[in-house]
Amino acid sequence: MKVIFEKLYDSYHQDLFQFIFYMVKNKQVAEDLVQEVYIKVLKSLDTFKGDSSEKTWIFSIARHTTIDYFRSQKRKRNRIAEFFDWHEKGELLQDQNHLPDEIAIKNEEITQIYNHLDKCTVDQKSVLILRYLHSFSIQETADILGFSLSKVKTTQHRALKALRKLLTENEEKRGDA
Amino acid sequence: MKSRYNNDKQVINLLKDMPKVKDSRDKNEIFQRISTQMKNEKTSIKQKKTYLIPILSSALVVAIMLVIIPVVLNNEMFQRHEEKLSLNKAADSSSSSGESGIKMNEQEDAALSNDKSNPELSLFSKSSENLVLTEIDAQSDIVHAAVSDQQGQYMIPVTFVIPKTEELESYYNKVETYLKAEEWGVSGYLFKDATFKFDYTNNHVIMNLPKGFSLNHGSANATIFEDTLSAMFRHLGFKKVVFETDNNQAVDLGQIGNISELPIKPAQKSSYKLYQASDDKRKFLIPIPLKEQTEIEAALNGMKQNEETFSIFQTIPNKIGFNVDESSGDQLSITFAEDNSLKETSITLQEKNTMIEAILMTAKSYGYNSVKFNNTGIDQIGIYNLTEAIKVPLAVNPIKNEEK
Repeated sequence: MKVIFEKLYDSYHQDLFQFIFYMVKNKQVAEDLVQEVYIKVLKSLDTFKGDSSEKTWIFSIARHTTIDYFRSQKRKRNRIAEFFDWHEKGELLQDQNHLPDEIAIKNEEITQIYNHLDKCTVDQKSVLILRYLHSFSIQETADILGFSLSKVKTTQHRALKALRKLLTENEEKRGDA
Repeated sequence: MKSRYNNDKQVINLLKDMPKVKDSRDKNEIFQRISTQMKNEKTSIKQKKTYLIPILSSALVVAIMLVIIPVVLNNEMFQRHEEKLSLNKAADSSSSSGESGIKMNEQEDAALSNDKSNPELSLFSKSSENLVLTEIDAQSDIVHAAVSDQQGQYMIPVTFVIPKTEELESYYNKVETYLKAEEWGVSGYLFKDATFKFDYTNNHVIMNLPKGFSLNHGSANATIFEDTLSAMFRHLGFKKVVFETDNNQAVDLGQIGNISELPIKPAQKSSYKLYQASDDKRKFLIPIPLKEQTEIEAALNGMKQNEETFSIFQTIPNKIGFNVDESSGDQLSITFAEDNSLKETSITLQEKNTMIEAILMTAKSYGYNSVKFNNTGIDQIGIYNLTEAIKVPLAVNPIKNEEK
């Protein structure tokens, strides 16, 4: 098992970690989730059909793992929200407070993009990260997300439009100020 | 003011400039975590499964009960119904034989009332002890062995029923362990530490006797030795026993002399009597060998003789008178002297049962295949239906598994 793990680690680890991190924006959570991805992959290696490339297969498992995580978080938040109506604010606070060093040292535009990513839908965020941070082709992105090519294109278009709008709004606010 | 973000290119470039984020942990550390996590998952699955066991087994028990209860209830009803029928039948037959009222002896009464209170007791058994083996199923084999009475006068054959899956030869080699001499009040097995090999091509048994084996001088021992071997291997079709000793010497068989092989004797005409060392010991039917020219009528009459010094007792009570008819080939016909012979109240049901079995075995030793009893006055004793000819038993003194 260790040999397989090492092969997976050497080939994909940092990419996987980065994808998950940008999706969940929490290093600790990303660490846990990437472990979960390894376990799922190791357990289901024999079911890997080879229809897609190994890399897109592993990334699709990573994407499912993060979506599962979001669902569990949502359930938790909903339970808390029954008592306190602060969940939206809580999310924002968490994002601001956990700005990682890698982002913090970058310019303001990068920080803005980083924050705005959360205002996109999960699908939009996934497409943006896969396409531009990981340079997957449209076909590969479609394989990972289980989308058609045109759905990837539409989602990508709407995501960029949304980001542009958010950046412009911010620009205008600053300009007004 | 015109926005800097008026085309996607700008945003895409920003996205591409997003910093690389790395996992700072060591590869081995991650591997360790993964393997412990996988182990924990396995154990938690196991725990879940063991947690399920009591639930599943309870469910299984309920399911089995649901299946069994209706079957048991049906059987019980069937049994009760049969009981009623047989009682009616008994009443019918006794009234048709001209008797006024039903005269049953105390034991039969007791047995019947016992049956009523214990519906699970078999209809026929009436708790009679059977000393012969009447049938086996297709999946079983018979193993013959023998012990002798405490005084070493007579050989006592015993029988084991074993599943066909068990190898006959190996069972013969361990049969010694199932013979409970002391418990049964008999002398021990003669062939302690001897081993048997079956040679089917030459049709003989090779018997390896322990070093220094010899029989005490005295005719009885030699006869029992010979009788025991014959009783054990006759029915398997072997013709002789070949002795094998460590240095190929002949075996000292006392009276018989020094021999290297011994032919297997055909069954000897015998009177079957009852052997019981004391009241608390097991009962055996014991064949008392007769001279070849002895008539069967004499053999049967001999069964009325007790030999108390040898703990050997009659199997036919003195009161029973009978005529023997040997004219119907391999079927022996025994007609009781008086109509009410088997209804005689001073003779217990067990005694009657043993008498039937001893007569059947004696008839078998004379080569008969079946016995028809006439003028019995009753239709059934134990498992034996007296209205029809009864087949001679397969073997004598079956040792039940629980006795082993």
